[in-house]
Amino acid sequence: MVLKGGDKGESIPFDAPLYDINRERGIEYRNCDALAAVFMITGDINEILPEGLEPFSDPPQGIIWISRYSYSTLGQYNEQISLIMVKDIHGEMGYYIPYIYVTNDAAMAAGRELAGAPKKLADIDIKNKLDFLEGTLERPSGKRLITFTFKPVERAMGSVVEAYFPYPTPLLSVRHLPWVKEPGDGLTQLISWYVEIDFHKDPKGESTIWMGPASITYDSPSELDPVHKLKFDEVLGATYFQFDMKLNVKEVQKEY
Amino acid sequence: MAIFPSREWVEAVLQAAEKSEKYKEAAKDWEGDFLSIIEGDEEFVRDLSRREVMEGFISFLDMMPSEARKKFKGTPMGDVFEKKLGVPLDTPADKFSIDEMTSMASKLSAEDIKGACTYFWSDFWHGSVRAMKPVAPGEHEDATFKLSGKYSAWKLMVSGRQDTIRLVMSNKLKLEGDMSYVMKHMKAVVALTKEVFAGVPID
Repeated sequence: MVLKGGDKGESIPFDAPLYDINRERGIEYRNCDALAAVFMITGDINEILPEGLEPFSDPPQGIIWISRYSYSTLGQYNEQISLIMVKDIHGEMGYYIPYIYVTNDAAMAAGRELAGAPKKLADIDIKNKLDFLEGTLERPSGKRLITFTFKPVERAMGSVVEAYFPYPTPLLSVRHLPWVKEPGDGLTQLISWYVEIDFHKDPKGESTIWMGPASITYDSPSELDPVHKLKFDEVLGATYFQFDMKLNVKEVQKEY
Repeated sequence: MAIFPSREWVEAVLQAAEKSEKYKEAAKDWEGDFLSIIEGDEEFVRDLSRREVMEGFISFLDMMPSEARKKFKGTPMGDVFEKKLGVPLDTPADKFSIDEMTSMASKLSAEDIKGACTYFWSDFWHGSVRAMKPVAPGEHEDATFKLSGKYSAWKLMVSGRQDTIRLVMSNKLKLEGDMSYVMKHMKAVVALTKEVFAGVPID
């Protein structure tokens, strides 16, 4: 307890927390959809990887994800995530998140404070245009950082989808609280967290995951939001899927 | 243009792998053999009714010792040969009547060859292909990876028209084995399709 009158949650202000978390159930999401593309990263990513993590493959692989969460225990919001496939401290595969953007303050605070996800606010959307789905990231409004255009062609399933999105899917990020009086009274930790993605099923029992050709462009690169540092030549596979999700934290893997 | 699968195709693939510096580099750390299973489908039946395809297919099976060919007995593929094409499994390849078999194959339907599979085993090792050969049912069951699917999907892959990852994602090809290893060596998988298989045009 911090407040003399008793805390009402785990986040500040303790008498009116910006977000709360059910430790057992985690943060819950219903009726979400997302675009995700896997690619082999070109160029050096060492400058954006923290100590303790190594690329899982050579060349490293990355994912760009843009999603809409129509309902969550953090409210309705959209999200863009850039992921790098890495080996964690234990040598296990996980995804390190160098950049992540959301559209509401509770999601941003929860992500930063609980898991160290380096969330910033941005304009993120997925729209149906002609026969495409188009995901976009802008920050600030009008400054287009990513356009992800996808054409659903056929259903995706099988061992590759399960390999890229295992259940649970492990995530890694660096939680940081700057020091106050002197270096050392702050906090910098490598946090392991995870999402459980439950793909929706259609009436025939098939997962609602579609694959097809995709185009991803870093339209207007910004040094202030350098998502373009995850360079790639070619998309290995792109999907659009509908799902529910649970998110929770797992462990502190390293203190910096 | 090679026929898939045929002796000529296997030899061309081995040669393409040997020549491709890009493949050697991409697969320099790869250790793992594949049991590949090609399931007959409508396109297979249609292709077999072309003389050159039948001839190529027989040349592929002829790479197997006749003793191994006998292991197809009682399998759907064995039944296709013995009951639908009228060829005993121990027939030496030079005694096959390609014209007659082609003619009989032209009367087959996809239903007639349901479940009929051809198997080939490939040993990929540090950027080289140490072996690629047809095998009998039950052989090399302990291969590190198994890749199976219909003939039409295999043709899409070996022609380079679709890459392995997309075919597996769409479940047209089924990949079994350590997927973590595959993900770690994705560059080798991509290079095998792009630099080796696609380098051997098929008819």
